[in-house]
Amino acid sequence: MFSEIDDEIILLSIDNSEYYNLNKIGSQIWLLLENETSFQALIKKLIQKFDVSEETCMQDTHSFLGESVMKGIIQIIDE
Amino acid sequence: MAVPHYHYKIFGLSFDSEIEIIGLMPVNENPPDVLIRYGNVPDTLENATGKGKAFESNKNDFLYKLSNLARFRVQNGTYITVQLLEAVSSEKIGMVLLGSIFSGLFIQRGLIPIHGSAVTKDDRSVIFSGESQVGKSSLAFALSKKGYTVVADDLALVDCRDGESLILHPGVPFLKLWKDVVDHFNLDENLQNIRHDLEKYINPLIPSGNQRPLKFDRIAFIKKKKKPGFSAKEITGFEKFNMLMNNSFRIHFLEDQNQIQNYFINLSRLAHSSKIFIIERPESPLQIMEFADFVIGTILEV
Repeated sequence: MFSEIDDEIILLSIDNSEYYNLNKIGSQIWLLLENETSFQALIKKLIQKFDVSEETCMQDTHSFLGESVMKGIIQIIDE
Repeated sequence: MAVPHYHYKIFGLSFDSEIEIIGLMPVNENPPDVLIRYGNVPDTLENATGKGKAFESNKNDFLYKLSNLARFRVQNGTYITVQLLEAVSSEKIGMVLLGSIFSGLFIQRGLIPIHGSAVTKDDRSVIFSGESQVGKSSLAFALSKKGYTVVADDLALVDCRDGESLILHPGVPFLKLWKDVVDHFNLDENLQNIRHDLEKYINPLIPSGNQRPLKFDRIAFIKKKKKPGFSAKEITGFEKFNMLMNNSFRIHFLEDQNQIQNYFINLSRLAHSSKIFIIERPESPLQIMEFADFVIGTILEV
C-alpha cells in the first residue's frame, strides 16, 4: 500500500512491513504505474514531464524499475 | 464486600476500573468506553500474529507481561484484564496502565500515541515530541508559566480516523520532570519521585477540567545540539512520516499485519494534514524560559 505526502510517495510492503520512500521522479513513475503500462509508454510520459534526454530517462527508469522489482514493490507482466 | 470502582475520563475515553490509577482525577461518565478488571490472564495467546520481548498480539488481542509480577490483557479496544502474580504497588500498576497497556488499547482503536507532551491556548494546540530527556516536559512546564495549558505528558494521543480533522485527546493531569528542572524552578522538594533509580519527579498540574478533544495542526520535534542558540525549521514529505514513525509511543508493539497497515494509513493522514517542525536547543545551559519564548515566536503564535 502507499500514501502521498507533499508529493512524495511512501510505500508499505505488505510482505515484510518495510517502508520505502520515493523521490520526486520515483513518485511520478509510481503514480504512472498505477494503471498497467508499457516501458515505452512510461518513458514517453516521463520525457514530457521532465527535462531529460530519452537515453538518460531510459537508463534511470530501467535501474529504478529493476530495483523496485527486486524489492517486490512492482511486478513485470508479460504482454 | 463490594469491589470499589474508579471512574476516569482521559484520552477521550471514559474508564470504569477496579484498579485505582494514582494521579488521575475521578470523573464519572456513563456508559464507560473501557472496563478495567482484575481477572485471569493467560501466559500466552493462542493466535498471536505478533510477538515481542514482553508482549504478544493479534489484531484485537494484546498480552503484556510485567516480568513475573503481573500480566495484562487488552481485548477489542474495550476490555483490560489485570492479573497480579506478586504484590505490586498501585503506583507501579498505574504507570504500566498509563504507558504500555493504554498504548496497546489505543493501537487497537486505530489511534496514534505519540511520545510527547502537548499544550493548548485559545485555538492553538501543539505536540512536542522527541527522544527521552530532550526537554519535552520541561518545555510544556515553561509554557504553562506563560499562559498555556498542559494537556499531555509522555503520551500525546492523536485521532485522525475521520480522515479530515486532527484531534488531540487530553492526557494525564501531571508532568514528569527531571531533577534539574525541579531545581531550576525551585519546585517543592516533596514532589513524588517516580522510580527510586531515576531522578524524575511528578508535578501535578492545576486541574483544568478540560477533557474536550482539541483540534490541532502542528507537531514540533525537539532535538539537542552542541552549538549555542535555538533553531526551527519545517520539514516535508517522507521526513515527516519518518519522524512520526520513530516517535510513536511503544512503536515496537506494532507487529500484527492488520495493525501495521491501519497504522500506516493513519500516520500518513497525520503527516499529510499537519505542519511538522524540528526545533533545536543547546545541550546546555538549560535556558528553559528562553526556549519557551523562542517556541512561542516560531511555532505557537505564527
